[in-house]
Formats: sequence, C-alpha cells, structure tokens
Amino acid sequence: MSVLLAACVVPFVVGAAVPACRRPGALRLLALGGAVLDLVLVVAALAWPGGGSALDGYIRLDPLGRVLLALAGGVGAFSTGDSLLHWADELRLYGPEAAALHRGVPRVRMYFLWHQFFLGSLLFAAVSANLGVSWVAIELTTITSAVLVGFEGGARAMEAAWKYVVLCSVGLALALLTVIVLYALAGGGGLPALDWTALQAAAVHFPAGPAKLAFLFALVGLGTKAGLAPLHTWLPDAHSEAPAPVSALLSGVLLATVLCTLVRVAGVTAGAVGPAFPFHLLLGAGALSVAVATPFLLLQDDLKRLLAYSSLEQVGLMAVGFGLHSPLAAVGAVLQVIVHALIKSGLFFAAGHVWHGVGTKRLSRLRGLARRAPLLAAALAFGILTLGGLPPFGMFLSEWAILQGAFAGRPAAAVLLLVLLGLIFAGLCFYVGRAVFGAPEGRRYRTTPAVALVLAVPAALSLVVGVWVPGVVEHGVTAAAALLLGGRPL
Amino acid sequence: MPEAGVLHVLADLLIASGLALLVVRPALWSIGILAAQSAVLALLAAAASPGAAGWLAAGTILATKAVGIPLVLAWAARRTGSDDAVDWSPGWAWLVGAGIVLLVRLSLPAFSAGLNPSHAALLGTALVVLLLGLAGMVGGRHLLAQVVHLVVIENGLYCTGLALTGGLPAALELGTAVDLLLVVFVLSWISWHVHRLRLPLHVDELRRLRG
Repeated sequence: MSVLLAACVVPFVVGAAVPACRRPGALRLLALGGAVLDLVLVVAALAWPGGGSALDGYIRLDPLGRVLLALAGGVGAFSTGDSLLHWADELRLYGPEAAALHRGVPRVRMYFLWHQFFLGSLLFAAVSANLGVSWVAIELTTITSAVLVGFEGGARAMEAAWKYVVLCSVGLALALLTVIVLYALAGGGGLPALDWTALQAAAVHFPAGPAKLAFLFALVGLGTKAGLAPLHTWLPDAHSEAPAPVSALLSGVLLATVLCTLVRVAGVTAGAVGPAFPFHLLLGAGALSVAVATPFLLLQDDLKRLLAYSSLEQVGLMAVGFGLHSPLAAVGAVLQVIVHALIKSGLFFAAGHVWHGVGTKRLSRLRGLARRAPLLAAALAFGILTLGGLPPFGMFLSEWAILQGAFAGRPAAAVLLLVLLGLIFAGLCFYVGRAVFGAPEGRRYRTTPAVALVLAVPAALSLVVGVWVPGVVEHGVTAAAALLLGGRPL
Repeated sequence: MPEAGVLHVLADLLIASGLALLVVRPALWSIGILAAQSAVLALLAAAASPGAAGWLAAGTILATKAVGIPLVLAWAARRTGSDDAVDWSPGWAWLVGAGIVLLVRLSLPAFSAGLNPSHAALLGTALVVLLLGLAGMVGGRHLLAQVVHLVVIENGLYCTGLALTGGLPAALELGTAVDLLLVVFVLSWISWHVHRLRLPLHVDELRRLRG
C-alpha cells in the first residue's frame, strides 16, 4: 500500500475501530494516535518521491492535490485534537445527557466514528485525480458530515442537517450531469477517460454547446456544495449548528476542495470554448457571494453564523481570484485557500470554546472576553484581523494579489469588491471588538494548555504562510495556480 | 440498444411511474411505486448494455434502488408514523407533471439532434423523469416525499447516462448507487430524529434557522 493511500485510509480504520473502545482513555489514545499517525503519513506522502500516486492513478498528488492534502491532513489532525477537548467540555458541562447512549453506543463514540469517516472522505476528495472519483468522494463527504451537522440532536441541528443533505444532494445530482456529458464528449472508454489530465487533453475536440452545458451543470451543482451564492442557503445553517471542530473542517477544507474541483471543470471547459465563458461565470458567482454575505455579516447576532457567513464571503473571494484567470490572482486565490483553512479552523475552535466556557454564542451577550477569557479573546481578535487582510496578518498578501489582479483586469469590479470587503471588515471588527473589549459580564474561563495549543498553532501557521511564505509553500502555491489555469507555466 | 418496442414500453413505464409518484398520497404506495420504477430501470440497464456490464448495472440498481432504498424508506415511514401521510404532495403536482411531459416531447427534436432515434427517445424519457423528480422535490411537503423524489432524480440521471454514453463506468455506477443508498439512510435517520422531537415531518417546519 502506498503512503498516499495509507494516509487516506487511516481515518476510516480509526473510525471503524472507535466502537470497540470501551474506556474513555482508549478512545482518547486511538483518536490522538490516529491523528498523529495520519499527519505523519500525510507529511511522508508530501515529502516522499514515491508517495505521489495510488489506486491505479485514481488518486494522485498533483500540485493542487498537495495543497489540499496538506490542508485536510493538518486541519483534520487539529480538528481531532479539538474534538477531544470539545467532548471533555461536553461531558463536564452536560454529564449524563452528553454521555447518553445512541443506538446502544455512547454518543461520544458515534461522534468520533463519523468524524474520522468524514476526514477520510475529505482526504480522498482532496487527492482525487479523476472527475468521477471526485464526485463520489464529495458526495461521501456530504453523507458523513451530515450526521455530524445534526449531532447536537435538537430541532435546529436537525433542520440544518436536512437542508444540508437535500440541497447538496440535489446539487451533486446536477453535477453528475457534468460527469455524464463530459464522459460522453470524451467518447467513453471507462473511468480513466475522466482523469483530469485526459479530460484536459481531450477538451480541445469537445463541441462548444455541450461543453458549456456541462460547465453550467457544474457551476450550479458543485457551486451549491462549495457554498457559492445564490445556492448557499444551507451553509450558514450547517456550519453554525455542527460541533465546532466539524465546522472547522467544513469551512476550512471542504468548501475549498469543492471549489477547486469546480475550477478544474472550468479549466476543462476553457479547453473547449476558451476561458471567457467558464471563468467569467465563476467570477460573477464569486462576486455575488461576497455581495450576498455582506448584509448578513453586518446584521448578525450569532458568533458561529458570523463565521459561517464569513466563509461564504471568503469562498466568493477565492472564486473571484480564480475567475479573473490571471496568474497573479490565481496565486492569490490558492494562498487564500491555505490561509483561510488555517485561520477559519482556529476561529471555529475558539467559537466552540467560547460557547462552552462563557455559555453563549450570541454576540449581543458576549462582552469583555479580554478579561474573562484572554486567550480566546486573542484568538478571535487575531482571526478577525487576519480575515480583514490587514498587514502583517496572513491574508494580506493573498487578498492583495487578488485585488491587484482585479484592478488590472476589471477596475470597476475591483472597486466594488474593495468597498464590500471594507464593509465586511467593519462589521467583523464591530462585533468581535465589542465581544473582546466590552465591559466584562458573566463568569471567567480558564484556558487549558491543550486549548491554547489548538488555537495558537493554526494562527501561527497562518501568519508564517501568509507573511513570510516559505519557499516550499511558494513553489506549491505557484504550481497549483498554474494547474488550475490549465497547466500553463506562470 | 434493445429493439424499439421494448424500449418504448420500458420508457413509458418509467414516465408513468414518475407521474404516479406526483399524485399518489399514501407513503407506502409511493415507496412501492418507486421500487417498481427502479426495477424497470434495472431492466432497461440490462437491455441497453450488452453482456456482463449490463447485468452488473442491473444488479446494482436492483440491490440498491429497487430493494435497499425502498426498505429503508418503508422503515422510516413506519417508525415516523407516516405510512398513510396525506400531506405527501400538493394537489397541483399532476398538472405540472403533465406539462413537463408535453414540454419535453415537443422540444425533444431540438436538443436530440445528432442522436439515433433510440437514444433520442431515451434522452427524452430521462429528461421527463429528471424534471418530474425535481418538480416532486420542490412541491413535496412531507420530508420523506422529498427523499422519494431525490431517488427519482437519480433514476432520471441514470437514464441520461444511458442515453448519452450507453452506461457510465461500472465503478462510478456502483459508487453513485451506494452513495445514494447512504444518503437515503441518513435522511431517514434525520426524519426519525425529527419525529422523536415530536415535530411534524413537514418542510414548512424547517424555518427556525434564519438570518
């Protein structure tokens, strides 16, 4: 078994072994050990020359796969770690209710089972080298994460889970039409015909009409799952109702993985009809997403919904970056994918601990976190400043590159984008600033070193990646951007 | 492709079952019709693809869509007390269904140019089934009705694949069928939980999360 395949399979093995863990200590050991092992395997697959391909080439580490695998592996490991802290808090606060049996199995074990299955399906989606395999893996992420979205068990969580599964399944059904049409255009020949490289090579012979139709199905179908407006309505519900460590994976990694799949379909379509049709539509969907997110970010009273709408804005900004179809903007968009995954996962972890530590996630009732829970306050403030794209924080470079690309190609759209980003930043600063610096109300919360670790590491990495940009990251980002622009060198 | 007569009969059965699903109210009847539609689809798959590939596709459809999914749905209907739910679909649904059939039949020559007559007819059937599923999904008021129509959409997609490609790769067909079975299982699980919360299984109830 190759290292890459092992990295994708380990979470499934860990998840399958979870029900056998009778003691809490064994479960902790299994989850933590599995997370560390998987992270080691991911790093080995990225570093080892032979770790690049498996399953007859259906999963492969191309430049984009490298970026997405690193994110899924890294955020996944921290999500597992934060899940242990999440459940420690749940059991401390809600005792018997949290420990209740679900179909004869304690809820905590059911949670880790589905969490690991979700992580495994996400890893497969990240490294899929084939449109058909990508479709199956993305649908699998819907199924495994839906159980987690509804895991809290209340009416709101069930509503969020229902909307999530139904809307994303209908969306992915439309995306299956893309697979069917492209397979027909490629002339059949089995699953290898849907390999991204093969599709890209064959696309020059595709007739324009069906190729455009295939992209439209992908834009609606994959766009729904990626959370692009106007088909985003499931996103704030699912991301706000899921347990915080799951929201981190949903928002930080899954949205970007699906968006990159959509951009790859755009690249194939561009091979047939030129870049204008698919990338202009992507640009429009991205700009619309940023615009739709703005009022909800300005009028929000729920911390996790605030972060969820910020994800809508961020995925829109990434789509704008890719949609501009310029090397600089594409590099900015890939960098945005990385920094967003790191910072948003940290923000969701922080929001989960705010909920457990302070007892509310209503922004109108959150005051004085700087005194009540200084580390959580610092994590929130750091995250919001990063999302705002201020120097020297991690998103400065990526947003700067996207805006540069926009000013070069579409100045009017760039100005509009700048205004929207400014409004969003003002809204985020107002709400989080009030929560952090307002007069303290309510009990204090002592942060453990483990919580400090899961909050500090993603934040520090976002700063390093976004500001210093190590050589390996720069090379990876440039190569991934080149791949998404159709393989031409930047 | 099978001979035209067989194809026509199977295609008409698929459309008739799609229309029936828009008007039939008791849940268990709906689930039974869905199972029958999926069985017809399996016959179509076996007839359309020669040799082992056709039998494999037919077996997959029979196991997942004609047996597995209806069993899961019947379980959910019984556990949620929805066996004879009367708020399954709106009264105007049959009118929309008839409109879809008419529209696709009239516009078929425009979008099937270049296909042979058998494939064109199958594509027309596929689009009708797909659109009937979408109409049922939008119009369905009961949560389990939405699940039934999601499967109808997938049946329409399978037909589309058959018409345009002669059948998708076996691994992909298996993957999509298993994914669909799991989706139906998860949705049934959620509907059971909604029922346990003593909430009606009605889409109008899903309005707590706003803003």
